Amino acid sequence: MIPLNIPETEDTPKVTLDPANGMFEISKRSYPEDATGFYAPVIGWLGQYMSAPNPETNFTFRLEYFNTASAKQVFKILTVLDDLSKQSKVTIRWHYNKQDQDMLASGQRYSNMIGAEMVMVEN
Amino acid sequence: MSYCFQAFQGYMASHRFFYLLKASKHGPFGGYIISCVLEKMIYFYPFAMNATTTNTLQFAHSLFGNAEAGGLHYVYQGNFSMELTNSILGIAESNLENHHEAAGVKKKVYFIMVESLQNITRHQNDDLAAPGFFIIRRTGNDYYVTSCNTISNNEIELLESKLLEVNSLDQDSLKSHYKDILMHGGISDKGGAGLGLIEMARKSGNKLVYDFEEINDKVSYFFFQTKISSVRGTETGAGMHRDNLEEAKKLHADILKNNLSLVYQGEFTQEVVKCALTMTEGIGDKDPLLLKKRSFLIVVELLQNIFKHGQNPSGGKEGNPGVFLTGKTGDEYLFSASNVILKGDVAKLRTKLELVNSLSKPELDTLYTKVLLEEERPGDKGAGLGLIDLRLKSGHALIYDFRELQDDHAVFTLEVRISPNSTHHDPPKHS
Repeated sequence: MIPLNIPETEDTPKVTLDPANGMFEISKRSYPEDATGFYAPVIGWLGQYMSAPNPETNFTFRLEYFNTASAKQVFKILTVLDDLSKQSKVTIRWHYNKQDQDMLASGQRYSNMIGAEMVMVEN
Repeated sequence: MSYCFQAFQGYMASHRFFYLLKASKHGPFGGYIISCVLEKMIYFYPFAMNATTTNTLQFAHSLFGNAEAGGLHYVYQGNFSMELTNSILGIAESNLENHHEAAGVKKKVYFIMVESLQNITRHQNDDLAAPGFFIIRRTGNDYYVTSCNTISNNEIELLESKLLEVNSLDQDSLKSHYKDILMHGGISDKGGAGLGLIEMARKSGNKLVYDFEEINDKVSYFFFQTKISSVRGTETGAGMHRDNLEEAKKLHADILKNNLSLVYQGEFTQEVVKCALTMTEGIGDKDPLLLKKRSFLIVVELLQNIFKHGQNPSGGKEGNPGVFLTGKTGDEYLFSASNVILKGDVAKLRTKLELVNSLSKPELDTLYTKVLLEEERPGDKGAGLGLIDLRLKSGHALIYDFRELQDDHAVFTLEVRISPNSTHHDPPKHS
């Protein structure tokens, strides 16, 4: 499957979805003008990946900031990963800065909302 | 004369803490203020006090009265850095673009802004290190750029003689005078030879207007204003120029009185949001990371709200009109945003705000999760999480106000306060 690489900008995150190299990561900042529009290709790509996934998918979130519109989109991605976890092994790593308790709380909230394994990683 | 002096004293008293916080990192030249004012602002003073709203809410509303005129307006107090200057210029540029100004006018306004900003930093008195003040405002076809910085009393005579000289010259004489100084020197020990003043007079095509306000027996405030006319032959008289300087001084006093550090009025777009974020990111260098992150996200939510949910009564497409204020009192930061909504939406929004304010933290968390789970509807511009998130991040009840405009619109102002160690303040329970 063709990897999806979106370079970061000031207000949109870096997205790396590369099954051949086992890299699945969303990082940096996410407060785009149109969050739904930005994440549509990401969610679309994951939908396609569902049809022929790797035996194991390690998905990393390493966000510094995300706005509420992005929060909704992140949840949609997690929902897809949750579905994927019913057919193959999925581990989601949610990174947070030690001092950023809000980022940890967001991760824990998502973790409680899905069945897939979600690990909180302190940086 | 006296109100400016009082305002300055008040300013020094209220901002000393803020300044000291910054001084160690950026040296004694750190603080300054930038302000851009919009035309007709004067008509909205003085604003009536209302027991149910805060002073800053009133101030925001007073700025909004002329939103439809679509000018630019901001105030900044903090450290002068390259990044900050770029943000200030970036916002101004974005506004000039929106007004479709001719390239020549844009270049002149830009040049004079840069020159004014440099004057503030270069000529700031090191012993006093008082923050400066900078305003850009559009009135009709004219742009007014006003700066203010402190100056030693013993330097006033020389500076005034230069200003009088520049003002006495016509355009041709300014040109030859400029060449003369370049070729024969006369450079002052501060690196300027009045060259900046000559260039500003040349590019603006108008006389320079200024005023000195004595602070004490050692220093004074130096107010300085340049006017750029965007349409030839429509220049207003020197009297108007002088009146505008007095208005700028009045605004200066109001901003100081309200403990504000950044005020921006104009059209809001994602570009403006990015510039405003760069400015606010410098706030609170010594504050905990969590406070900085929360402040950043509060600004994102408030400002994106303006262009996602706001209305543009004039029908313009380049962003929605709004007002954004930040301030600091003690260790508490204040962020406030105003935008236009439809009168018909007031009741619904008020109900939402009342609900969010009435909930405890666990109840807000539950509501947040519930909204996350809701299906997206086509045409949704946000996640419907903004107000919940603002209330959670602030810990305090959200402060808000609606004010009706003449037509089908109303101005909605939302004020969010945040302090280090802020815990969630549950609403009082009624039996």
